[in-house]
Amino acid sequence: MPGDSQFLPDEHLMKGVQNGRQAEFELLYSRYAQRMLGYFYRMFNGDEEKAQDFLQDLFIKVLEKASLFDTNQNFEAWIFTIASNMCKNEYRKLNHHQTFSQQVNGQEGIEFRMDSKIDFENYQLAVFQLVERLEPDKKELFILRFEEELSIEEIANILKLKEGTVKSRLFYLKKFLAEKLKVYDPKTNG
Amino acid sequence: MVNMNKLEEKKIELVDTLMEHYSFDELSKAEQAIVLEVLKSPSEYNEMKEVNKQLSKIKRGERNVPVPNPRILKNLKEKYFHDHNDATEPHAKTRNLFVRKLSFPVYQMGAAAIFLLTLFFAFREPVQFTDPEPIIREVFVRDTIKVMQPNDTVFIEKVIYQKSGKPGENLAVLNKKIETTETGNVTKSMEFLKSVNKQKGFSLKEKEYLLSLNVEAD
Repeated sequence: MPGDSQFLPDEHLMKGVQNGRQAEFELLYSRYAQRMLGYFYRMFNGDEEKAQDFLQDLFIKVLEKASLFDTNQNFEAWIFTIASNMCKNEYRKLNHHQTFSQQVNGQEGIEFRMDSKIDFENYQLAVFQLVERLEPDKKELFILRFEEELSIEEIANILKLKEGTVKSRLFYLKKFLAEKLKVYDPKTNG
Repeated sequence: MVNMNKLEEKKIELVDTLMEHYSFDELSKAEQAIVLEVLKSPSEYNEMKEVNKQLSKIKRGERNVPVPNPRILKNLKEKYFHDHNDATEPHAKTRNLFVRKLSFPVYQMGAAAIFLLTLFFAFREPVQFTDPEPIIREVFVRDTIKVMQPNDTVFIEKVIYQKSGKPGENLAVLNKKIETTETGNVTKSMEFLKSVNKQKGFSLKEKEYLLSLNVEAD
């Protein structure tokens, strides 16, 4: 059974968790712990201690609310919804909103040449640094879409938004990033 | 207002899709017109297109992220699965007994408990209902001891006399003379004085009594 369960979908493993089975839980944990730690780590701007605490709390919630999970639903979206709500509550407590907006809005645009792999790495680093200072909801949108590679439908589900709204917010997020991080293109810029 | 938002969303969606495939110059006039309703200029469109391209290269795990602390899983297992070391064994469920229907292990556990109780009562020594031994408790009367100054000496003054019955004869008087120190508390010496009717003397009984008082009888 443990060998077979490696190939089972998350939702099936959750059935096992609902029945109090440790093996299924461990498998789910191994699939999601690193990913969810990364999510918290990025959401809290590299605060590892907080990210680890949130990771533990998240899996406590998964265990304690396991019976509420509908196994016909998407587990990935469910766990991200819980994580997202935890972050929202934390940000509400800390009231970080204004600080982030002010930091980012005051920043000048930076231009990048994209001639090599190193250039892309630098560009990517600049993107991450910029994202760190975004408002929490924009940051979350970026992480879910571009780092966690979730679909629009999943993001809409997690953030409790319409798909159209998610698309439009992503569009404006990209517009904002394009303003701040200009890519030097010899063809268009001469 | 809702319709406006819907229209705006539709336009954005279209521009986003166009951006994935075409540069501004490759768009039709109608498409360019829609793009310019959403964005300020063709260069903005091209910049966004480039951002789109770069962001699509970002992969999960590009950023350095710490690994989960192993204690987290350990803590979770201890807290939620401590009843069974290997849950893959059949009938290993023991949690939430009152939530779920009673499962087979519960009956097993119940039977085992009854068996153990039976054994306990069967081989237990019978209770004896004999008269219990009286419990003797020694009662100690504790005296109150007053500790005096080490240098103090306590004397008891007694006047002992004997009637002779004859006029003119002295009474047999035993007395003590107390001399006090400068402090007035400590008796330094004591002298027994006695004036005894020599002729009569003391009887044996009287002598014993006097001796008990530490008085020398002549």
